[in-house]
Amino acid sequence: MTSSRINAALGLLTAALVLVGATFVFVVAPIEVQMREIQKIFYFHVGAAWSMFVAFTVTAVFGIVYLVRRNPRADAIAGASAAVGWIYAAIVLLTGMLWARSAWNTWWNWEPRLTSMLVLWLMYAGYLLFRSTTSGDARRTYSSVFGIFAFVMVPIVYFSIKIWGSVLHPTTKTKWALDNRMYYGMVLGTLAMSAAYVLLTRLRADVEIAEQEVAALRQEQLFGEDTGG
Amino acid sequence: MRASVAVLAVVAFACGAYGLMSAIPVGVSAQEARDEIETVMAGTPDASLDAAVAQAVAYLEAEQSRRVRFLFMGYVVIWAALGVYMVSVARRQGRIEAEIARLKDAA
Repeated sequence: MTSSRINAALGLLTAALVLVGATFVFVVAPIEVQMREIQKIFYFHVGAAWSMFVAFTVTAVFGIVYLVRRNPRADAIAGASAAVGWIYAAIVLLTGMLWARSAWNTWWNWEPRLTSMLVLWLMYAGYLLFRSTTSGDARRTYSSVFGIFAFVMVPIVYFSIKIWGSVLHPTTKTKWALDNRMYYGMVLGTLAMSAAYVLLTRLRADVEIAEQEVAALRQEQLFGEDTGG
Repeated sequence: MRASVAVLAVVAFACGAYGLMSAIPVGVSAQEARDEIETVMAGTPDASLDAAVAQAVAYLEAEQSRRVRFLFMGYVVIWAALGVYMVSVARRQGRIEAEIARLKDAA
């Protein structure tokens, strides 16, 4: 199966999951008693957060793979995953802010989960900025190290409420008594966001690899011109 | 690749619009209405039942409209961010493929 066919299949799978997920979220899942309609943001907010954690884990793992094997494809996947993860982190922050405005009557609160999430987003913004301003082996090596160190923020964000406590976010001990229809909506929303993550990362990695090919062709031409002259 | 991106973008947008349309006419529960009427009557004991009901209905409608507006914005943020990113990656890939073809021709 060629890469473009895999991407097309992934695109259709994502679209199907979005369709079924949206049907569950908006038609089947009941309105939550306290938060009412705005709670429906959470089906995709949680899905985006989950995919973001996966994306930054993939960045760290492929960073290690690059440092061990020096395979440029591993670096391309790490960079692509970080870029998509950063978009998801922005979605998590923005949808969280919209929910906060509706539920807490404030756009932002400097509580542990939100603050650590903002720090995570800024760290990966730095990672992407670094990658965009450097090139060659130095970029690959240093961004791999950067991706591994930035990953430290992932467990900090996840466990921030357990570590520092919060009156606003539910702790990981507090299990939501989810109705089955809400549960399936949450699962489908998460699967849809995860499938979109896989598709976007593949597309972005293909672009990175194509850019490496362009750089190699340019170098080849330059080398050919140098020997010819 | 571009076809799959286009299909995904169109379906995602349609789902968003469909979902929002389904979410809007949800109404208000009897318990919520009763609680709000009681709140209004407790605040203004002299008000008639009809006036209290009218005030409670106006408040609940405004509240529901506000929540749906935020839900709408949340959905727009999610799919606009993913859609714009998909389009930018697809355009970038198109440019690079053209550049590779140009460089191969030149070689």
